[in-house]
Amino acid sequence: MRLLKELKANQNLVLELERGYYKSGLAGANKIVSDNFKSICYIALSKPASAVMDDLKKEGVDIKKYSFIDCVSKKSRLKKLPKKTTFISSPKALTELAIVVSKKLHDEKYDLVLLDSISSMLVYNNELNVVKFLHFVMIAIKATKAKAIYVIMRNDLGRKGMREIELFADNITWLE
Amino acid sequence: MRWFGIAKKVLVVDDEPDIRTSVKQAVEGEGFEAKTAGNGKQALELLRKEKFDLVLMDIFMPEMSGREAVEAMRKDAKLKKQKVAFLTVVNLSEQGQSIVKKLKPVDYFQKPVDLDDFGKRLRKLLK
Repeated sequence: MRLLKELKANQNLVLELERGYYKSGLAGANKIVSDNFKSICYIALSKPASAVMDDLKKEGVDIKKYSFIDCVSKKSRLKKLPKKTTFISSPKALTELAIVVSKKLHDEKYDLVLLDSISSMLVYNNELNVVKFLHFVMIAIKATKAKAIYVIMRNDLGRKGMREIELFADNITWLE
Repeated sequence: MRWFGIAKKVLVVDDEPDIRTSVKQAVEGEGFEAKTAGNGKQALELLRKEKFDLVLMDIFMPEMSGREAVEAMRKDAKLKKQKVAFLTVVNLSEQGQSIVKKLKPVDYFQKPVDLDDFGKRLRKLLK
């Protein structure tokens, strides 16, 4: 239960996952947080919120506790809008995402924010902008009582520009 | 601040041109000479050519971050004792504080700076 222990001790936690264990690692993390937190904000950058919801249901996770920020789906193309989901115009729109996250943190008082994932962000944005975005969100989290998990693939954390995360994240952890 | 006619020299390193200009003006306003660089790599190039009494270093920069530049300085025989103060928006975590401490900065200014406090600390660093 390393993750839970780390979440008790830290507010902003970077969760490193091996590429081959991404899906199972993420499922494990969701199981832990849904069992221990009441209100969770899931920032979906890897796949649409509807697909994340299906995955969570399959894993037996209580999705009633979740709200979503979907950075992948094009809202206008969806026939049916999923419940409790806010759409961001593009995964490149980091300023829009930062504003939505900080507003939601203020208005909806989440216990936990899960960002899935920094690695997906790096597909669409340069490293410096991603680091600046994460710094902004981590400061916003510090102004609340919420905890946050930022998922990243191990290889991406080793990228030259990403070392700066160590300076402002409370800790970097992995799953046992 | 002149000593027998020679002003102390400060290198301001920041990727934002507006910030570079305003910090340079604030340094000059205190009576010191100031030059600027846009990232860590440019700063290292300048430092190898000219002597500076203090470097005011941002952290988040393209090409080479402030942290990487100071790490390179500490490994360089000529620059390892260079006085460096960070001037950055970065709100350090406890983990970050211990990482930065190892780089031996003489000060850490959090942006935005209070100009009076900045001037006072700058004068102290360059005494």
